[in-house]
Amino acid sequence: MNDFAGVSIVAAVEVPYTRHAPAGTSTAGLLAQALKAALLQAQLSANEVDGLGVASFTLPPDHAIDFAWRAGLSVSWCMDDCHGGASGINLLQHAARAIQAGDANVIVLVSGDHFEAADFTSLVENYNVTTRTHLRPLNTGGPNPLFAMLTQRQMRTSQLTREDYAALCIAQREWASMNPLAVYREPLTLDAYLAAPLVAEPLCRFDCVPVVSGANAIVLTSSTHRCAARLPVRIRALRASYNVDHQHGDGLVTGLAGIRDALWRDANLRPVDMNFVSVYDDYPSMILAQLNDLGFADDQPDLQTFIHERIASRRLPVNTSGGQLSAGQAGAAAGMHGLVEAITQLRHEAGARQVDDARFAAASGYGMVQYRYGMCANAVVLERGAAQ
Amino acid sequence: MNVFACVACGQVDFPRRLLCPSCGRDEFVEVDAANGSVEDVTTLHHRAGKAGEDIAYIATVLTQAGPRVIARLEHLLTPGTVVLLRVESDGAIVGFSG
Repeated sequence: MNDFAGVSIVAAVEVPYTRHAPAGTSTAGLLAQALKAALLQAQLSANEVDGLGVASFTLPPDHAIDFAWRAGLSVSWCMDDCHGGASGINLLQHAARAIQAGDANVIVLVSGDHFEAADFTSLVENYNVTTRTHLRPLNTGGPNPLFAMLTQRQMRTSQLTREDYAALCIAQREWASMNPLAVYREPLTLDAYLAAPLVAEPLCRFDCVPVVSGANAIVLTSSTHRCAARLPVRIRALRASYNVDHQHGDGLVTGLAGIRDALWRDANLRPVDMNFVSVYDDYPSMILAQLNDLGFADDQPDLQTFIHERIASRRLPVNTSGGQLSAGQAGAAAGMHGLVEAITQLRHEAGARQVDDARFAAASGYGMVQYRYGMCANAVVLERGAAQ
Repeated sequence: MNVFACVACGQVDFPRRLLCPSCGRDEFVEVDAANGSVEDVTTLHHRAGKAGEDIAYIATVLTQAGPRVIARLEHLLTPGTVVLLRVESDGAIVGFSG
């Protein structure tokens, strides 16, 4: 069964991201704010919720069921997700199946994190056993050097320059300037990009996501639920691919390359049908890798042309929130951020950055760096449903 | 510096797996990987959560045994340079030109 019939997404929210959260901020508190805002948008009460999914790096020692109890939720379906940048779409996949199977009728998915400085250092040094054993002793300070080298490989393979990556960052900053929730909204110039401090060559500060505190949430219901009569968003297709090459490749091709044919076939749509795309943007090189894998550059002579003629020109709107690169990366919420933006656009609630007549969107997730690059990739095709 | 070869199918990997990704067996032998060639190298200027600049050179090294490893270089080396690899007491893989 590859269709997602009978399932509607009825709310998508973002708790404002902050670079320096006020004293007293907690991960559980941010997740609770996201839950409350999502229920308000869906016009639901908490006692109507019977399913909960949670993605967070810093919620432990609590888990989803602890959060459910603290939030006063009684549920028949409960799920913890640990897939980082792929968590939002992974949760969506499982939640939609739970609704189709009748295990739950109203599911809230929340994700988010609040990092103290020590929390973030601990996370990146102990991301998994491989990191703790083989990368932490190198004092890499997280994945930046790994993606710096991946970016070098992409520059060689596709003959790209730093100016090309700058164009991606500048384009997203232009979108961010219209998103009041983005933490960085001031214009970014090529000169400023090229003059920015280098982090891990060739990556500069603007190629690396700013760490923020924040949370996101979405709500799914059966399509017969009263909430689904107002501004529903439907899932046309969803596919995932994890550990596709066991880290034996160069990281320039993600798992999306292997699932794209099935994804577009399931959706009965093509990349050209998409009004916009939300693609996981932990680094600019991964924006290109995922868009290329999904087929968005198939009609372009090369990636350089694709960047300037399609993305920078906004003919293909990419990461209209500003993406993580401008809006911020709130830990595990990064895996839901682009999904929330896609749903917001399809509900025609994106304000000044609204894409005209948005009907179809693709969103991708990527992440969980193992030794050299991410293990996880997934993608969803969404459609604006008809209000009843 | 060693990598790990599956006894059953010969698949060579690093880091060591629980089960072989090629055949699913769980028996491995150590294979010497003390030599390699630098494929990519980045100069690391800043680390998350750390103030100030503390330069390090992080490289992807293709070992002669097959797997790629992430190593710290003692000095900045260009891609293609042949390096010797050793594992420090803290587990860090360090590459240096012989």
